[in-house]
Amino acid sequence: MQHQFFDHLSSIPSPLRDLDPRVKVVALLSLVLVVVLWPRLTSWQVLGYLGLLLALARWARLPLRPLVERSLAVVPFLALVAVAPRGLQLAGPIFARGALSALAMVILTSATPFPELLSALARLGLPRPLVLILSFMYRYTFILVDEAERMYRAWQGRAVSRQRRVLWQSLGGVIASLFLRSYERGERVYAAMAARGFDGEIRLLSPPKGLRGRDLFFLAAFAALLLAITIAWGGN
Amino acid sequence: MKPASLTVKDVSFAYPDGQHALHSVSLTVAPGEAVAILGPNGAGKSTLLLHLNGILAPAKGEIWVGELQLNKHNLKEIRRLVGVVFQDPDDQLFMPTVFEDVAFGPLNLGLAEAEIAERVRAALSRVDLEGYERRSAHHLSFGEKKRVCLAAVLAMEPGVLALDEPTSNLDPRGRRRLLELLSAIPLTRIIATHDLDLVRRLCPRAVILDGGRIVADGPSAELLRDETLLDSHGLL
Ligand SMILES: Nc1ncnc2c1ncn2[C@@H]1O[C@H](COP(=O)(O)OP(=O)(O)OP(=O)(O)O)[C@@H](O)[C@H]1O
Ligand SMILES: [Mg+2]
Repeated sequence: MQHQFFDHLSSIPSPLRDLDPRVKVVALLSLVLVVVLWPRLTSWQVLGYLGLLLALARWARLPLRPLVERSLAVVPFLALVAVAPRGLQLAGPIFARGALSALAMVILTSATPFPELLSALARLGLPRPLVLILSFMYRYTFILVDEAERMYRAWQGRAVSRQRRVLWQSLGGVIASLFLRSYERGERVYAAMAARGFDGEIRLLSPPKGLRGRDLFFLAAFAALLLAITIAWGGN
Repeated sequence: MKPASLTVKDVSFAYPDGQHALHSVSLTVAPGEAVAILGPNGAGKSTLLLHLNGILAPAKGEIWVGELQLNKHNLKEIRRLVGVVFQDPDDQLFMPTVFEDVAFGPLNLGLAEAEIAERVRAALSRVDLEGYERRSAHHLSFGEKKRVCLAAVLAMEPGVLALDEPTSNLDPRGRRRLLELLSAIPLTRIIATHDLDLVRRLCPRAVILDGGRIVADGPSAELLRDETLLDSHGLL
């Protein structure tokens, strides 16, 4: 089982982790919006945002390496831009915007346990069906990965043929049956939901919880820094 | 918790692909009674359990829970009254946290949040899992998952518990733990199983199902002594 890859960072205790997840969502999403929508980013701005994010990561006691690795996962997509006409000229700014946005989201999800993130999104007004889909995704990704791993091992065990074509064909079979199993799993999960009174109406728990002083302080400080970097180093 | 009686009257069922899974099954269970449903693979045990709360609808026959005959108008009430614990806990634990999983049923009953929280607390303490509220199912052991499933059903305050192979895949300690819990629950219990030792300890009465038909129904001490009977239905 490889469940480590998802949850272990968000279990590190830190001041950022303890904040209300709603202010984290709002703060980091607004940084992403600025980074993506500001017409022309200057190098100073890029460095400023990067510094802000790294300071945040440090405050959250997050190890740098996994953050950087995860943020760079967007690089292959940026490579697509580079091959477009005039691509190389565009690639620099797009890379900066992409990597900064990714880093912001990685910090958000690493400093917030996923269940809390979901309830924050629900309380910020994300439609309930989407919240439910995300929560299933969280829960069943692990099961799917395990299942795929088991089947892959079984396939390797039986894959005695040296012929490429035969191998690929049988791998196709493995993937098809993974689909089938997931489909059947879906049916059983639905039966289990119905068994506990699910009638199509999605109800979510939302214990009323006010923002505390430190949540508001964080939000204000973050907004001030974001604004300062954007305006002071915005150039012309 | 108030145990309810259960009556299955002449129920027949075929799956959409034409597989006849139940043939005129009749069974009456008194309030508080614990009955084992024994039978080889494919006998129709799971199919029968799924009828008890209307997940599957019989082609012919009736289901009664207490004074209520199952129909589409009282489906919700019947699903509250009959708690089904499925064989694979991963089908039944679909929410991000243990708390949300156990709260799912009460939430669908439309209870107030304070009442829901109280039910979750009571159900988790009933299965010795106090303090597990914020854990995620994929970080639990198999035995713990099984107990969360039981708690999720108990939180609906049912009158009848229907359990599908509750001890399969459990290690000896987890199995013993579950047996202790189940014997302490003063509800009507219907337990589909291959585990003859469980039957001896928990169920004074047993029913043998084979090929979708009830072939024996009586005191389990007697049935379990009859080796030719057990052998001819693949239970030894
Ligand atoms: N979804 C389905 N579609 C078609 N046929 C099914 C379906 N589920 C079960 N069956 C068939 O119905 C019959 C009864 O199956 P059921 O799962 O109720 O048996 P079971 O006694 O629970 O067996 P096991 O001990 O393996 O769990 C079997 O012949 C099975 O192949
Ligand atoms: Mg079964």
